[in-house]
Amino acid sequence: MRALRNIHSALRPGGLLLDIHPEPKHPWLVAQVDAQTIPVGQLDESFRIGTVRFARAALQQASDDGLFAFERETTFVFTYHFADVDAWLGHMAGHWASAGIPVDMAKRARELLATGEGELRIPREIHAARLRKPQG
Amino acid sequence: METTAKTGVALDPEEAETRAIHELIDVTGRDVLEIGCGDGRLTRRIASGARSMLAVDLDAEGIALASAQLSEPLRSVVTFQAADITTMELPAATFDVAVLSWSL
Repeated sequence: MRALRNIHSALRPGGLLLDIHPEPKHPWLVAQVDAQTIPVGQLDESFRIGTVRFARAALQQASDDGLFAFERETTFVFTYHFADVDAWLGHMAGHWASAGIPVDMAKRARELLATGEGELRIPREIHAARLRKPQG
Repeated sequence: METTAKTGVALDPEEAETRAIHELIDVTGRDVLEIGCGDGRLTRRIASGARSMLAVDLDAEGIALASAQLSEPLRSVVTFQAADITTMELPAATFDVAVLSWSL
């Protein structure tokens, strides 16, 4: 809540807060091979899911306290594209360390990509909400 | 598209995120605060048109990378700062829009 109170203070009256967070779900890694989409496996996003739920609760509390009012919400799909397994693993290690990768997922991904032309993808559902600081 | 042949990674080349953001907010001529800017990926997508943008993140390495990757036209618009939003001192009633980018 301290972060939201700080943001509230920094916004002008009537100012907007845009919150963007992934949906609290375990995303799938899929192989897109020769125009076919084949599930490879599900990443373990337990840690991120916990932080998303915390963030949502904090925003709801800020709304209940009258700091912000919810105005509009939407969801969209943010897709990660990886040219090959090494690109995927490198990205996970450097930018997405919170996710657990099940044993054998990389092996299965390599096997699938070896069957044709393609890439790996992670389509991730994202939630975006616009809130407004009251004028008064 | 945010990709390089070097890394073999492309993040949202469909720009679904940018479209969704622009449906919800218009930053044209606005003073924008971004919290959790990371390496500046989203900053670069939304800063164009803003009057000013302060992008903050706890990760100083990410901030350095974000700053290095900023295009010349956006350098007069965007300021990056390594800081903790829970403790940093922000001037009161200064921003029109705040963007919480996968953070809190």
